Amino acid sequence: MADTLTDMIFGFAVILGVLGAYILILAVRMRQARSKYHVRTEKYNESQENSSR
Amino acid sequence: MEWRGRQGVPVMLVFALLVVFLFNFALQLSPDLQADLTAGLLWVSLAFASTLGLNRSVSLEQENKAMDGLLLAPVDRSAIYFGKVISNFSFTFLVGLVLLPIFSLFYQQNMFKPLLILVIILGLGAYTSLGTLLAALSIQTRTRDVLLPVLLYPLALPILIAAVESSRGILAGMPISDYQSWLLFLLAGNILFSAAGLMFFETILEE
Amino acid sequence: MPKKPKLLTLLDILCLILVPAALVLILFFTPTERVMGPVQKVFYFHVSAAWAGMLSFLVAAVGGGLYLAQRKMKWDRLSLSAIEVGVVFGLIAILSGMIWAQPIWNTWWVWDPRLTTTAIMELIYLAYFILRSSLDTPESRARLGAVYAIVSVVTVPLTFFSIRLFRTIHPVVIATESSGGGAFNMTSRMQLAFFSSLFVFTLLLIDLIWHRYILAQIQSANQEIGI
Repeated sequence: MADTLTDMIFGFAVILGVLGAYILILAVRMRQARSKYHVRTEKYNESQENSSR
Repeated sequence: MEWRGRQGVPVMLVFALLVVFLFNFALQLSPDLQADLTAGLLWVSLAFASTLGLNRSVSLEQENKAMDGLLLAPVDRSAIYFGKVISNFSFTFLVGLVLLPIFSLFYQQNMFKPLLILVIILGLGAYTSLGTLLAALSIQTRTRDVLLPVLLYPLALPILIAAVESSRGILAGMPISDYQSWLLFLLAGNILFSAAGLMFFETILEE
Repeated sequence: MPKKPKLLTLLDILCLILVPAALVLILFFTPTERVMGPVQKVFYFHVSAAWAGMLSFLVAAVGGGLYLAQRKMKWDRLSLSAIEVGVVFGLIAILSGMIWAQPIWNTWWVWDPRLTTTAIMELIYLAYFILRSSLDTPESRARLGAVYAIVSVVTVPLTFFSIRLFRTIHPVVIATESSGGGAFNMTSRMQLAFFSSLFVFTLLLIDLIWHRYILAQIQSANQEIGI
């Protein structure tokens, strides 16, 4: 039997690594988008209040 | 309009020849080239020439705003699509016809086999159907015709593979049963991409 | 504000449990292949990733079709999400395929039908993003993206079969693993691990597309609020 144990570990590491990296980046993008959403909603609400006064 | 574009044929031809020469020196091909490489070389040249032709016709139209005129006219959109396909096909086919004797000369291969002509027709048919559709797509973008190769080459790969394999079989004098699946493949590609072109051409050009 | 559905949280937990579980199954429960050794086990996730990627592109094409039919942006968001996730799975498939190939055939790349098809597929779908980024309106991005997604998905099986045909005409001396899972006889244990991996990766696919979809929703909302 070929001694490919290290290769196998490498293989699985890459698979899980890429998955993990994507999930991480996705989470970061999500956080950025949500905070942007809050900021913009606040500004919008403010401008609404200002214009109604 | 497209007929006026025929001035593009010499350009396409020169380009195809340049490709042939380039590959010859880049790969240090010898005159007694195997059928394999001749087939591949032929199709690479044709693909490049066709793409060049598509790009030119697309940018020409942009300059003359001809597309708007065409769209205003009470012409069925599918007719426009087929018109374009036929013109690009014809131009590239002409280039192919000129390439055949040149290849025969350079690589000591008899390229004048009727089946090969058929393969060229089928292969170019599928390639130009797909190419015209994607060309319409790419002119809508900011990057315009630069995008076309990016979109076209990956998607056209199965067609090119089928064309090369069929050509190879014909040039090597193999029995038709060896490559008939490729021929069927090309036929399917023609039908599929023409259908796709018909279906989506109008959608692509919506305002 | 798009709230995270409870079902999605459930799915998250499920994936968090099942992916490691599948890994354990593969590492300890399956027999080690005689010739290739442990690295063969990478195959389970490799094929599952490729499968997930292709499924993803199918979903994207359906989303594209639905968009063109109904002109509702939610389908475009689905299409976009599916393609992005599909590209990630495709990358996993390619990289794992290369790592699997290297110790066996002593080369990082093999012109194997599966690997080559997947690479071409990756290029096709990366081009999707290039296409979108060169368009200026959400409507054109959705519409043209949809057309591209539909035309592209047709070529995926086409590409696969063309290269498959190519390889059978040129018989390759290399082992038959290159023709895919069915080539070597799998013991029942291997089968269990194999189908479990497929299932788990499909769940994972749905999970990731869903998350990406929510991100797309928020991003669309952000664009609108500015107006």
